[in-house]
Amino acid sequence: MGVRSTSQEITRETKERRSHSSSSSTSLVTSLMKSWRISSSSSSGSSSKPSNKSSQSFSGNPTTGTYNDTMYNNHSHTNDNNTNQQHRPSNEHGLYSLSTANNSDGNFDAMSKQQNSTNKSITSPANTYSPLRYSSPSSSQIESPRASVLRQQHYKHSHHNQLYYQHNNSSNISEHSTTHKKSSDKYFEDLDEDWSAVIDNYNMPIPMLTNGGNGKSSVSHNTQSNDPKNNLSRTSTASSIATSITSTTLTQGQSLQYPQLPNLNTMDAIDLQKSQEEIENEREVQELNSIMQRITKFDNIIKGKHIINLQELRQLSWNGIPKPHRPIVWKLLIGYLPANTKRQESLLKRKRQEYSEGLKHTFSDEHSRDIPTWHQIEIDIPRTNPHIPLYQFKSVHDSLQRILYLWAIRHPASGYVQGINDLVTPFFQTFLTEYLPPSKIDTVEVTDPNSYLTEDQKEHLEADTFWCLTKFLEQITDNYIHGQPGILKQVKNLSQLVKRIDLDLYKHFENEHVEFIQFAFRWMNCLLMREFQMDTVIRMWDTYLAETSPETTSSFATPNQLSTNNDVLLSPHTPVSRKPAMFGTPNADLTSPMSSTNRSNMGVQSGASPAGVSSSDDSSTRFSNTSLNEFHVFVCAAFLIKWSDALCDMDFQGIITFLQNPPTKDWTETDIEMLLSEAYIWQSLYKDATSHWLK
Amino acid sequence: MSTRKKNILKVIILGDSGVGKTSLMHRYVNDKYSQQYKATIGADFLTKEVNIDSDKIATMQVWDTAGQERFQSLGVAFYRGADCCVLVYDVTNTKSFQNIKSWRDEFLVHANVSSPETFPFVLLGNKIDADDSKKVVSNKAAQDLAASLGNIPLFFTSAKTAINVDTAFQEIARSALQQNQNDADAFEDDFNDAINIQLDNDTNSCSC
Repeated sequence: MGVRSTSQEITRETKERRSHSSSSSTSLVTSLMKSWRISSSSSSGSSSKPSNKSSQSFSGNPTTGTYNDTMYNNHSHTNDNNTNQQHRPSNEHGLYSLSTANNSDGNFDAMSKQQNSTNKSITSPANTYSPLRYSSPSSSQIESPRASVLRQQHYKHSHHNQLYYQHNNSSNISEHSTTHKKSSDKYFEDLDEDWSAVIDNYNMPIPMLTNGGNGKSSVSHNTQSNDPKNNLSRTSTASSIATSITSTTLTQGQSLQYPQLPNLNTMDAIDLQKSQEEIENEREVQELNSIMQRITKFDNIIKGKHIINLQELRQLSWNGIPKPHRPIVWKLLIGYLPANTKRQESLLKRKRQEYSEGLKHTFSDEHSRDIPTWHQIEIDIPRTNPHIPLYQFKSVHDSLQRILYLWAIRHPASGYVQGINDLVTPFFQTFLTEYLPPSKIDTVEVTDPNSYLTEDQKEHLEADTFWCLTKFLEQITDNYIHGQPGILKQVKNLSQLVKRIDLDLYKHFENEHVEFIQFAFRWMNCLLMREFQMDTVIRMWDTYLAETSPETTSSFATPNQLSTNNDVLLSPHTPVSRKPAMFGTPNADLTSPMSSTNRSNMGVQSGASPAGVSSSDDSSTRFSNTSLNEFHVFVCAAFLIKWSDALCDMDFQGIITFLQNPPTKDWTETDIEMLLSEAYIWQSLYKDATSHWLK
Repeated sequence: MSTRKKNILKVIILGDSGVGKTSLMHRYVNDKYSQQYKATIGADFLTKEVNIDSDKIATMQVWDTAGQERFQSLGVAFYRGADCCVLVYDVTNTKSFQNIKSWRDEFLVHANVSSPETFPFVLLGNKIDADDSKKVVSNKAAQDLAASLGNIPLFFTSAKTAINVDTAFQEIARSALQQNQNDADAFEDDFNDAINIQLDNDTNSCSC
């Protein structure tokens, strides 16, 4: 269901009318993606591209409508399902179409940011509706592409009304649009379906439609605040962008197959309807509101339920987890805590007990200590996150030493590998916040845990961290065993992916004798943790855990399964033999017994869960199909391609130096969300194709 | 600057984890020292323009590799085409000294150099700023090792206090340049054996 079924609708509906090939669309998609890249690099303040270049690529790009076609056509082989097909009054349909045109024109935040940085002109609040936009703290009620796809079916009606409402708000253009409905209807109708499939509708608050407050503003604030002209971008209104879009449609719509991105030159007219201050205020209110809404949503899922709906939780978490909820949600997503809330307490008790006994057993005999491993961890811990005060405290050193050493001893097939010391810290730091009052969560990085943790709490914290690290690494054990085959494969997959997505860059690397392993090894070994600041890494992990949680098994833990987990501590095991699927590289995972286990588990879940979820079998399959390594490769590809233009102008030395130290210091959560969304799109486009060219 | 084709010297730094490879590289390239380097994963890369014997200019590309044994399997990606290999041990860590020979062998296996006998290595004993009480590798042992590895240059360095770092890298650059030209000559004239350059036998002992 979800993406696939919607694509089916589209395919069915448009089969007779449309004949453009998806193969040509693919290259269009590539160029579209490149345009994001341009914008995102400029948003991070690192781009020195001339503005005319950016705007060229912007106006010259294919529409997102085309993009959607491609994406959905890719999936059109799935089962037919058109139960959600809606009938609409035709005039309403026209308005609706215009709104989708807005979406496709404004499309991604990236583009609006690009507009900011290049034309210093206006951006559109309609961007808020972009299905692929990156939700930021200020607009976090917008769902991820995936989540919105999944929800779309349940909320289609209300969504429809809201969009209709939007156009009443900007009725001056509505009239325009109906005038030109004929010319635009043809493709807009399709877009209508496309976009409705991915727009998150039910939580699209009306106030957001009437001013410029949306997620991107936080980015422009952060990265472009020294540019006074940029302020103009926040004064834009729905009608101004819509007007320019209408005029674009007027001039170009009839002669071209797809709706065009707005020609930026036509967008000079700025409609100042509100003072800056008003808009700022409203935006703040909205941000607060959306944060509150989001917290409420998490509360609704987690609290007061007997069985937590993990699938819903995943969908919601993809777009970021509020700080107070993060510890528990991570534990749920990774499969440490069972979804059955009545079992949680006893499980925690048992697991913490096991950890405690494991420690006693391991540390009881000084002579049996694995000196090289101990020493390696010992010298790495002071070098772990050296710029964060938290990791300078002795008590933290001791905790991490115990966790890592115990993990290494219990996993002899891989043992301790440098980089795992990085991977443990997001868990440690996140779980620490459980013991801080909500108002002090942000001080976690500067406070000595000894000042607020009891000994028992400290051990609980360690145990939780240990088990979640264990769960996490189970998915990627292949990365750390001898020879690190998982990483080598990922690097290879990355190069193949870049070859498909951005041949220019790939060839440039070849000419300069740049090998992917020279820069991407670390990306894989540390999951890009070395490339980003800790807060953005943690945000990234929200999505990683939501996207790739391999195991829903222990969430449905039967006593049997739990005892399997017990074995981990009772006898060192070699995950290689026990969990072959955990080594899943993309392809292996598709066929692995593990994923079918997951699939059936998910099936069980959706069957047992409240009405509506049972229709989402397809999407749950998708969840179980995604392995951490696989999704990470797509994230790395998006990350690399983001700098493509700059890299293509560099020689070997420049490229390696740049990639060793990419300009991500000022990246905000919004930038990360953008990256993740891009990765998600690449994955949607290439996932099914990868089996053909990834070995 | 004047010659269009600049010499590029590729230098690899090898040694156990924590002996100070990253610190040495940063001390040499940026003349900075920090306690806050993260453990190297894969390899780090820095470059520096070098002036050798005050008449030859070259760009030195330094690859600072990860010390943990697990990462050795990817050495080949970084070792290939190297002009000089720097072996680093920690004078306060016996094990790191004992492992020098295996690092050298490891390099020769993976780097696929044209003539392993003449390939330039340079041995660095790092952290000589440490208290004498902590030093466990004697200078004599180090000199013996350097001799046994083919009379390779040996320097006692401190990345922390910058002792001998520039001197050592001057020698590294000189060796690399010679190796680089040897390879080029060998390429030009197949009949010539690779010229066996006798490296300066300057086993610099430090003054302290």
